Amino acid sequence: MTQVNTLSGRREFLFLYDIKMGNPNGDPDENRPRVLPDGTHYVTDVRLKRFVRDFFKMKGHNILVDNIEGKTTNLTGRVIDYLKKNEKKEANGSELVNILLNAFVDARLFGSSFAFKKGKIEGKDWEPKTEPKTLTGAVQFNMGEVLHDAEEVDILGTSVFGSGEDKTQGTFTSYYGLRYALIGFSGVANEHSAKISKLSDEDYDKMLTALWQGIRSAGNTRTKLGQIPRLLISIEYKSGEEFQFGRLHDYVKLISFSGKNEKNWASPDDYVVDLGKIITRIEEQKEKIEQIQYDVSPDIRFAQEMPKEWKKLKIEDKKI
Amino acid sequence: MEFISFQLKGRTGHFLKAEGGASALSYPFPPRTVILGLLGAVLGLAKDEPQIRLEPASIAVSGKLPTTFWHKVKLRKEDPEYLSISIKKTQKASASGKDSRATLILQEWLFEPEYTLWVSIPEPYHSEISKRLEHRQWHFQPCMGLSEMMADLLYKGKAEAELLKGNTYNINTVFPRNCGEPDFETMFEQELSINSMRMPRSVTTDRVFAHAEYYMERDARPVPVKTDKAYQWKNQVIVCL
Repeated sequence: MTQVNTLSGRREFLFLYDIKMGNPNGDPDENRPRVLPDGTHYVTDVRLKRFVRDFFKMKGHNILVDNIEGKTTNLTGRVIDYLKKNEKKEANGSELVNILLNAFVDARLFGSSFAFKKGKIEGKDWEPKTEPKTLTGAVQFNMGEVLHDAEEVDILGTSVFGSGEDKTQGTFTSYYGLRYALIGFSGVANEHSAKISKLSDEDYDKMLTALWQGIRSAGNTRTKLGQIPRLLISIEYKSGEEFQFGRLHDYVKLISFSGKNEKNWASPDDYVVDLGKIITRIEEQKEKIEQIQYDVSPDIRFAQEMPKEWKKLKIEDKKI
Repeated sequence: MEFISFQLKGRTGHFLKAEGGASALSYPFPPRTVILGLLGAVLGLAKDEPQIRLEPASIAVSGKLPTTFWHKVKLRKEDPEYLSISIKKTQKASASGKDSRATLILQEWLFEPEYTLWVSIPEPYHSEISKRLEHRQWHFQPCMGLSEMMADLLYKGKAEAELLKGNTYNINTVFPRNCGEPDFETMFEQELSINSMRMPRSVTTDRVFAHAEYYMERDARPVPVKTDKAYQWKNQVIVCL
């Protein structure tokens, strides 16, 4: 099997996107927006990973955590396909894990678990202690949070699903959402975990693209339509550096521009994004940083100019 | 004995009580076994290595009882497909995977948990952990129980600790029930609020856990305890888990 060059150094990223009259992440019980005890609306990492996976799948990549017609991914079949394509008779133990990691980009990014049956190798009993059995993902997302006070809305209406062309009966329907929300996620890609999961620099770059383009293309439910990516910052640390900030979205401050109360904000026209703290923090650690890449929505206003040494990602032009 | 002190905090945390039933309850502070794993993550140890390499470890923890809330999650119930150790090119595989099932569970999440820890572990790991904590260099990502709950570790310092003679001291940390005799009369007079809990203390490489009983003051106020297991660390009196 070809040796993969894994992630060359630690990465850290900040991702902001917004949603209007939608529910960024409903709880699975009542489907209301999730809220922390301090009133902050939050979005789980699973929700964001789903956007990434869905985008990869849409682009033709194989996804491990998938659900085809209500069924989980067939791992054995996947291995057999690999063996046939590569003219190999069989694969054992850790080689199986490598095959699956190479096959599924989301396993390399977010981790996975594999379970093996007991068996025999060359006539000897074998216990299922494949290395690694469980992979913590090389990429970890913090829980996303709405970066301002947001107004919850209940949207009531009717829907019509007639059983025949001449039938027009309908039913009441309702869903819950936020009037407007700017959501911040931050995350870390760990180069040591990447050695285990085989995450490469290319995989990481593809993930950034999937974050940005996947948010916009998401629309599998009514409440997820209309999400727009606003800002993506990626910090690439020098090889060998193990420093990280952690919760980058805590460094983002929003300042009212329209004079409206935060709960009445309806678009980026209503506020200015203040990145002063994050710019200062990054400057303080610049000796550890190889480069900063970023991309922004044209509708976002900032309180400061982006530092000139930061490089544009041009993420709209990228393909995966 | 030298102790390294650092702050452990996160926006949310969840230290699963494995004996829970339908709901996933959380311990209010990280069990000793979790702290070993946390130290292992900072050092870059593989899973199940910390309980070998870092023992005997002296660990103390202090902090207020965190606010909790219920997080609802739809959990996929099906186990991953079991793979044979060996798969041959010629064998047959089913056309599709298993039926997908899910269930709604409640998880008890800690809100803005924050703890102060003191640790003393065997060399060479003690020196290594001190350097890594001071310079914010974590090998793997530490977490507050669940991997998506990334932890923040803030170095506070290191100092020699003096083992104190048997007496009654105001203990600033969570303490084991068997470390001495709490002064219940004084606790009552001071209106201290004591929580008692049974928590994992050690674990083998085969994941067999041993538990211990602990006391924790709800607001991290000092608790008077007659003990010969207390250490004076700077202006704090600590007892190890």
